[in-house]
Amino acid sequence: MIKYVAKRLLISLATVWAIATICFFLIRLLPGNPFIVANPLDITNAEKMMEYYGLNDPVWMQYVRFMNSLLHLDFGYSLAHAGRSVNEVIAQYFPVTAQLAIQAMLFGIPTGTLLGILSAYKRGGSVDIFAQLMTILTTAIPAYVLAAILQLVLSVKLGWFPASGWETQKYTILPTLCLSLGMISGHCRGMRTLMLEVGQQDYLKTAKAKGLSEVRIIFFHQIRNALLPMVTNLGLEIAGLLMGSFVIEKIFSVPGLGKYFVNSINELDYTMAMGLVVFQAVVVVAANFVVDILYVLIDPRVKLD
Amino acid sequence: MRKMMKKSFAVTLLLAMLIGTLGGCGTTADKTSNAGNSTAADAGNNTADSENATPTTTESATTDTTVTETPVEQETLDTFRFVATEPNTLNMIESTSNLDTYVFYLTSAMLYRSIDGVVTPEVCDTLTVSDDRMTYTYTIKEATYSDGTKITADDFVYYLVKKYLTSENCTYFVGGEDTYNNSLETCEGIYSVDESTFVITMTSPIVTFNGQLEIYPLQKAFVEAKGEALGGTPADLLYSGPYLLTDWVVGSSMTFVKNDSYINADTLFPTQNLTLVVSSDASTTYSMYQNGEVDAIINVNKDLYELIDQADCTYYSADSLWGIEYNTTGFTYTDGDGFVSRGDEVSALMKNLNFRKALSYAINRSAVAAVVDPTSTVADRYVSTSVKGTGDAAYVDEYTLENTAPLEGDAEAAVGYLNAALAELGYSDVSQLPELSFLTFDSASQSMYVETVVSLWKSVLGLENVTINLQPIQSAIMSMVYMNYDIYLQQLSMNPDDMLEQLGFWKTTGGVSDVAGFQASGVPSFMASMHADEAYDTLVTDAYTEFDDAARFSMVQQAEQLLYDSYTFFPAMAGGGYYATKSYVEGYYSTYGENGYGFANLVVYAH
Amino acid sequence: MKEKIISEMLDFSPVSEKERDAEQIIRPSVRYWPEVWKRLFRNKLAVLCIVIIGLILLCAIIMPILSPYEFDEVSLFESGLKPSAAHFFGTDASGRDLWTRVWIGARASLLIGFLGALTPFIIGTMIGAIAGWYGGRIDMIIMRVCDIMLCIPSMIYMILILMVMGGSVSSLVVAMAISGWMGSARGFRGRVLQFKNKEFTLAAKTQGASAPRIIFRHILPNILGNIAVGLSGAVPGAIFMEAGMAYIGLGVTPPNISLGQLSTDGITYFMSPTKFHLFLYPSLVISIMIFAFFMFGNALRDALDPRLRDEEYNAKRMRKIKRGQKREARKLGKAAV
Repeated sequence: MIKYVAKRLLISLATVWAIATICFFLIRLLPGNPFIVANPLDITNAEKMMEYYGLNDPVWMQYVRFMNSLLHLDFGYSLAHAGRSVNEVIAQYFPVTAQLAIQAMLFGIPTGTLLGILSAYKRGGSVDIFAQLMTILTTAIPAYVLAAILQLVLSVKLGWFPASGWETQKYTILPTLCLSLGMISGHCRGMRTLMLEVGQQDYLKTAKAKGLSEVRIIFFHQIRNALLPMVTNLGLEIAGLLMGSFVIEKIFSVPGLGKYFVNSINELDYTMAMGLVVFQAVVVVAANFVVDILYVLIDPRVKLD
Repeated sequence: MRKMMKKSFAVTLLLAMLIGTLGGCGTTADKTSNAGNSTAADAGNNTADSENATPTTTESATTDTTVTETPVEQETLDTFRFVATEPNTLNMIESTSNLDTYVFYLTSAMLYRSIDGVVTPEVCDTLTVSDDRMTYTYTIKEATYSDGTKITADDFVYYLVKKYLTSENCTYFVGGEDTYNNSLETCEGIYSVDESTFVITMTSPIVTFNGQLEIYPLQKAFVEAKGEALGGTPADLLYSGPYLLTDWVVGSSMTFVKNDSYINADTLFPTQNLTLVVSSDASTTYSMYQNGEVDAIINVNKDLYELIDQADCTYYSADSLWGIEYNTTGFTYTDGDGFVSRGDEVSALMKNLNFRKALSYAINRSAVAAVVDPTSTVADRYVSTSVKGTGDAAYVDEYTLENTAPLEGDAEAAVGYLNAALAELGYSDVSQLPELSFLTFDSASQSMYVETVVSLWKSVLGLENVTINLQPIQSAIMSMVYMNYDIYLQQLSMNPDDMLEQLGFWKTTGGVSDVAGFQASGVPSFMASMHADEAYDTLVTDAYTEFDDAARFSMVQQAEQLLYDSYTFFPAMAGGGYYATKSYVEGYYSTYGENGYGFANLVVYAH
Repeated sequence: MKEKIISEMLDFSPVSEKERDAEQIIRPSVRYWPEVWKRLFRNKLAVLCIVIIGLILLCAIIMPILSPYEFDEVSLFESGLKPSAAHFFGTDASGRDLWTRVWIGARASLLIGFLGALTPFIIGTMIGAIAGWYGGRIDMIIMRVCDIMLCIPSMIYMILILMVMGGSVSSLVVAMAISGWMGSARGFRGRVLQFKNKEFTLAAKTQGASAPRIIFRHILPNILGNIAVGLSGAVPGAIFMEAGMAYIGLGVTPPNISLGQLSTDGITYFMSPTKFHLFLYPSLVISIMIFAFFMFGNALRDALDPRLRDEEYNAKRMRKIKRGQKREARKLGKAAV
């Protein structure tokens, strides 16, 4: 077991390094100069800054410098926003993304799963029809439209929540709701299918034949077995959520990492973009790592090599 | 047994993960709510403190304004929330954006401050100008930073040397060029005499420089102590202005609290708390405004303009000039191969005056401007319409240009010019013309303008050879600088206070059209405009030292006419500036530029 | 007890006519795919979706041809017109006919949807097949590359490719192919591994079939159903991805237009009293399109996996019977009262 974990850990580290290297060169391929702002007269200044930050040096030299900073886990300062330390940005705004993601998950996953169970239990019933309708609506309507509708109804018309911003807990409700809607429909759909699939299995027929009560069958046999594949997907889902959602962060002015990342690439903010890429890579790789290990532990059929 | 262990291990791992995430959630939630509470509490404390410390002055200030401005005494609120664009950085040295300056306007003391459009001395005590207008001697008042240290003459000198000198203006100061080019810490012509006196010496008298510098003090020791971290967070700033920045949630909001150690704290900036709310989405901004979550919107763009009650919107100034730039040089710069021809056909076509006139005449500029951005106005000049002439009328009305293209376009004339161009170049039909690329930013207004113009060229002239090249702003500007375009939608910020600065854009050397300099050095040090004309250069350069208004204006007029007739930069649209305030907000003022936070006399009444 | 059972078992008797018939196969034998189609067309919702998709395809093809307007034809004095007989969906700010633009945009979106779903899938399948079939070191390398590529934010490729190739349908498809092949490669590799040691594969192998032949002639047909479902889900995914890219500001370059672009442009008019139609129609069309593809995918899955449907059908019938019983019980109750 320890050997397996060590091996996976080594592979994970190598993966992070590979991602960082590939992204480093990919981002350098983007044309443009990070110091150019809207006023084209500042081009002299921009050239000066390129020189100052060593961005006119050969790429391998910059790469060595970047690797050095990576080893020290210090990503330096943003190029487009002077004075903003990349580490600080991550430390400050990752919790925002994480809070949003976790709130959405805590609301979305149980709700979705429950809806899935209920609609599988009474197929064609009112709950099922409601769940199906909701699934269709939330998957067919683009997120930015959905967000705008929620904002109009719950904030402008009803005045229940503030339209945008990130101040008190109240401000987090609309973006959370928006983010969790997709999750609810996804989990509802997944759970419903799994429940139905499990319902076909022989062990369930055996349980029925043994004369177990319906409640017992559903709770101890059907749901438990249907949940297993959902758990293994959870890691990747969490990782995806922790990268933040640009659309929702933009519409609700949430200071999360998703918006930061898109902006940093658009602004050619090399240091910020690389810092965020590496951070996200670490999050995903860590999630994969945990899932791999969990998988070995949960599923007795998987053998260690 | 082994299986059991595995199972229990799995359960513990899962639990650990869950608890971890839950824990994370808990702490972050706590953090934000704490932050919210603490800022609120801080703000509360601050207001309480200030009231305790100077109860009479604060009260009298508010009552004064209410009494003088409204007969019925109304209760005022101490918080003002407004939607604005976030600054790029608060690092004063590396700041390049106007957006940053608007925040410095709030957080820093100034030598001179523009208050509701009037430049008044703030930290400056006296200014002595020598008779030859070459030496400016300043003495400053007693003033302190919020940490108690004194603002000294050296701080202003440091700012001037570090920040004020630019490639365009450094030649006007003795030793300025040397300082700028070599990034020196000192400048021969800018120095302090003692703690409260400093001197600026010029190389020649300049009409646009009257000594009323709207500059900030910058403490060298603080800058050096902070290093790269300068201006990153509220703690990395030294405050001396009307407000302290207490919280900056990037991408969301900025919170300001009144600074009681500000030199004019008793008389100006009566509002206790300011909150700058960041919102990049028009619907969201509108929702917040309708909800009353914000009291004002600094920059009402075209999307908002259609939504917001027109009574709330106020026009303040045109801040940018849009125009169509034609690449008449016939080459492109590439990093590898240096200057590369854009092709003989393209080059000949773009160098043809009749062809450029055909393109220009085909555009119905007033209709396009109205369609693309209802907040804008059509432009036919290179100087802002808010520049005053010799009398009360605007300069552009007093000094008109001749032979200009009609604002509504002229399809017939355009076709005539096109046919003339085709004949000159030996084409029999427009379909034989080479491909041209029309470069612009990938933002909504820009792409819409270009799409509309290209469609007009297609319908009026039958041109199908123009392709649109949309690029993100940085790449677009880079491509433009390297002349990687045939036609470019140019936007220049306009300074209504300085008409010469605008004309300087098209000077051949030192200006933006220094193509020859680019060719000689291979280093782009400008925005490559295609206009090269010695007569123009002389006019603009001489205008800087011409102190007689009428003579200067006529020189500017001649220069404008030369530039217009060359059809290298065809003026098209002046980007508009509207702001919106709720009816209970009074004394709001936008400073020059896209938007500015001129809240010196701002009062928010209870509603 | 035991003896009794044995004695019963030993008690032979001839089978009656009825019982013998029970063993007989009365229905004609059906092949898999015709049966799937039959089941699919029996599903009303699936038929509706096929009709919608067909209609949208048809509109996208013929509407721009029939329309008297060009999609990029600016008409400065018809800016922001509301829907009317002349302009079914109204006009945009520069006076371009929205109806024509929507269908031209639908062309681009459908192309992106189909190609953006197919290309990464085909590439992924090839790579997955190689990894699964050859295994060993090749497999390990491919899977590592997969892992790494999955972690690189697709934004980076997207911007790069759009920068190099210009914003067009083809560059979007290339970007989607580069950032999306990993999923199907992983999936197909798993399938190949699963079937690699099955008897029929071994039989083919012993008969000297080449690896590609085994993979594509013997293994692929076994999972065609899964593939069909996956692809029908990938089409709306690709359309959505394009819309998302357009929201960030990456997408087809004007004057070309896609539905995603139109609907993201329209979102600014969401609360506009005069230009609401610029938001409504593109968003509506894209939503209907996604809905149709999505529901079609669901129906296809149900048709491919008859057990679920039959279960559902049985459950429905059971409920009907139960309801009937209840009703009768109630009637009886009433009668008794």
